[in-house]
Amino acid sequence: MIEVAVESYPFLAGVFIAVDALPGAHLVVDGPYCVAEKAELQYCHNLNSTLFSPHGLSRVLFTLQQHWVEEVNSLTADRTAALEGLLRLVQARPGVEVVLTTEFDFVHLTGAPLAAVATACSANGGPPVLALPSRSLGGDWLDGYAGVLQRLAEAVPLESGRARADAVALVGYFAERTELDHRGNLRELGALLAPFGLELCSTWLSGGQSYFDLRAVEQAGLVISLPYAREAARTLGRRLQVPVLELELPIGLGGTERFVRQLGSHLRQDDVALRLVEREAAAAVRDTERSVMRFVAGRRASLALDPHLLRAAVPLCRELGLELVVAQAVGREPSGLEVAVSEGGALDEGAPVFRVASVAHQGRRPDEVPVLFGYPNFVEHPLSERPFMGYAGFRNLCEKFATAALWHEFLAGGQSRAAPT
Amino acid sequence: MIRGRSTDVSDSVSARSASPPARRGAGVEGTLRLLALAGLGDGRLQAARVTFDAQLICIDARSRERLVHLEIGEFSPAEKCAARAGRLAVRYVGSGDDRVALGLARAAAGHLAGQRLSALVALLAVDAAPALPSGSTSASREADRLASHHEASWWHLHYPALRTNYNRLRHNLRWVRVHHASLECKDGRVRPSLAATRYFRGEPVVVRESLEVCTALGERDVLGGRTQARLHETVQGLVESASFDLVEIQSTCLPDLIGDQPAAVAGAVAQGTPHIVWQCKTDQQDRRLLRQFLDARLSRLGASGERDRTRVVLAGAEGDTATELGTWLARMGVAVEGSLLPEVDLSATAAQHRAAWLVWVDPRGWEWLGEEGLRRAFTVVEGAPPFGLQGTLAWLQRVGEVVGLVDAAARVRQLAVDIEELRLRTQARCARHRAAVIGDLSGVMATTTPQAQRPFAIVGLLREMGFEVRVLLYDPVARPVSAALRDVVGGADAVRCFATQAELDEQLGEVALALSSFNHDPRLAAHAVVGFDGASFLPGVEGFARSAARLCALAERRPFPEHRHLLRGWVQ
Repeated sequence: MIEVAVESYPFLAGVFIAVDALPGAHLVVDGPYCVAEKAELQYCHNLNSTLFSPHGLSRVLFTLQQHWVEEVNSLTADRTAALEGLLRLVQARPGVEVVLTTEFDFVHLTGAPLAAVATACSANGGPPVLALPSRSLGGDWLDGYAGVLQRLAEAVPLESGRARADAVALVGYFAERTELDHRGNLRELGALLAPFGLELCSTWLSGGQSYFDLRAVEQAGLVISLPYAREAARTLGRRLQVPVLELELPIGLGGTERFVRQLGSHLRQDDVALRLVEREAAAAVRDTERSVMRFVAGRRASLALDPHLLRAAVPLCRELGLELVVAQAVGREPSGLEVAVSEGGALDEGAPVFRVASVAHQGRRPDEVPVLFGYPNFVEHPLSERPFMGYAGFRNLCEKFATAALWHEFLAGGQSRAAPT
Repeated sequence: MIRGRSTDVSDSVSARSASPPARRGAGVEGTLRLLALAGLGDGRLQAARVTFDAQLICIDARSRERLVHLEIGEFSPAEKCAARAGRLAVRYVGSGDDRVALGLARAAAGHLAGQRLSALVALLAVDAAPALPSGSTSASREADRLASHHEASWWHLHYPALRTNYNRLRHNLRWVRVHHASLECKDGRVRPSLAATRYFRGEPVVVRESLEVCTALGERDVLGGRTQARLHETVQGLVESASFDLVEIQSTCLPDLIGDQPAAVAGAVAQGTPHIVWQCKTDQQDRRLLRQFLDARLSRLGASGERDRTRVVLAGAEGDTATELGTWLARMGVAVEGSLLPEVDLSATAAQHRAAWLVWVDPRGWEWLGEEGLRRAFTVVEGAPPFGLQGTLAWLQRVGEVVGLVDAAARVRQLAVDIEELRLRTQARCARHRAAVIGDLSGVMATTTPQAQRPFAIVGLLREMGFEVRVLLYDPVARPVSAALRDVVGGADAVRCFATQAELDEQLGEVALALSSFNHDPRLAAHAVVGFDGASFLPGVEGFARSAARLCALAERRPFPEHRHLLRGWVQ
């Protein structure tokens, strides 16, 4: 069974990710100065982050600034005026399309009127102010990201009846950074839609589309719901009166095939799906089999990933011939997710284990082969498109596993192996 | 004598009002006049910066003992202050038993009796920097800068860090830290070992020598009133499961607000061993508990009886720097008995050193430790740290004199002769490169004097290395360049004024190096200009040479030599 998450990221981390992926959005947090320190996590993960700028405007602001030390008095003081003043200040900035506002857990406990202040500010004109009540105590980063998308889904001005049959929207894509791994993912997703005659009209979120751009979702004749914001997808489907198709992440051969086949089934184009899968899967297997068979298969793996990536990575490990020894969810345990974990001893016990996790969950153990996957990734910042979704993503993941294995073996063997004779 | 001040006024929005107050950075003249009026100009402060608005004057200073933050204002009787004098009152931020800050606050209040705040503000305004849109005087660079709004600070590149080495202490205690916090305050911070990805340049790599656990408070704990019980269970479990020397409880805003009492938990759990200390986010007077514990351990390092007054222990140095300075001192005839911090034996029960003297090499970041314990173990030698050749020679002479060398000055003169060739070689190489210091007048002036965050003058060190220093001065009103600035940077030719982003951009095209606090500064990147900051300068003679050589190498190997015209611009 899956190991219950003991490590996760806080609610605000997900909010920061969403704001970073939405150009023109600013965030005001009713809380102390450490908001900025927490947001630095995202800055380090995303080489292209615009949350902070040495010479421009910060997109993350906070209300409760004390010097050196917080005080109970300041924590409990009525900051309604301060919050409202700051929101209005941000609304007046050039280039601001939407202002999101949330709060720290202890502020939430004091019953601060976040929503009322947001409503009052929005009513005065200027960019809308969307309140996102804190879920710091009961939720985590995935709730933060989904919460922002839900507020956007409720608030973005939309007109129904503008849908096109060939346009599809992706809602619940986890745009955790605006680097070329995700640009590659979006290209791959577009490539999976194209054979069905579909065009991606809007992605929530993509990192490239601003709040105003999100209105393009009204062209969608179909909303594809990805797991990071199911409720937002349902909300948009209701508002636009278009169908919503819930799919899992297209990662790995099987994951991508399921994505394509379910889409084909929904569109009544099973033949298109079948041809696409047969063609692309065959090419992907041909391209990767040598590397997988020689360097990857027959080893063991431990996973520490967010629940949605984990759900996709478990079958991927099976495809790569790996024996799963540990699976840990970095976030709330998703319902219905069960992972059969080996009792150990079946495959090459004592050999190094692939540790498939973000940098934050790498143990730096000599008997582990680190495979960086998931959030955050401070180490890898691709400079050419490096998707991890779809068939191209499968190739990249195979390469990542193989390189990690060989590099680990090389380092373990010392320099003599590399020395010319 | 007060030798400088910094004016890096934060432009963060204050929560005190909807329209945040502008706080200005005082100039040299205003700073010196205020400190003289307040009775603080008598050498008790080594460096200070003053910022002010109509309601508040803040002094961030480095005393001989530690950093202090004083605030002068007309506070209401309900507001807690260290000392009152007529309409004015002086308070300090920090531990309630901070005798240094308390002494300074009381001295200032005594001298300022009869003064009015408005008069002090007028005094400070004589050469103050222009106001930024909003302000704070937080000593935390993160608070000041990472979250700042930068409404009008596109000309600002240098934000001195006031960091603590809290997580760099390498000790041998079985020390566990308990974070009493929700998930929100437990995580979400960067792994500091990846310094290159961070916002600010030179963030120290954290060496965590302590086990850390978190109570991970959740909704059920809060709503069920079980937060303190969670802390109790966590601490009890730690105490029962392992043998710790020290359990440090760090409480955060949420449990503080709820009213949790770590003291009660400590009292219920502790039976003498392990030692339990705590500090609450909202009451940092509790920090004295940790400091008292560490002071007691540090005080054991020195001999309790007669001490050897010919020997010294170095502090705040390790590796090559400690070795090099030890070698120079040995050549002077001073016996060095090792070094302390960041590595220290805190479990020692018997004296580790016979030396009478403790000499700081680089005191930056160790203020949190408190010097009470070290002062009980040693006599701490006062003086400027050994940065630059002249600074190192002065430091060596000071140490020599302290240990009683009658010919310390003569020995230092001989050392100066010995290193002359290195000095000339270094200067010849550096002279080929132009290094820029950029900012408004007060920001630039702050780089010409030692600061609370940096005990040396950056401009002085650059010039000593031989670099051509170019000051790019933000001056929207085109005032004449001040004589004080001309004198310290080597003449009016070294100063170029700018008022617009385009003008700054053009000037940046003429330099190879520039002082910037950011790991990635688009302003510099647009010209492949190499950034550096205070951390780029190492102490000692070899440190001087290595620092200079590295800056030269960076300048000589600027990337994209043939394609800089293709780099992305930053001007809006």
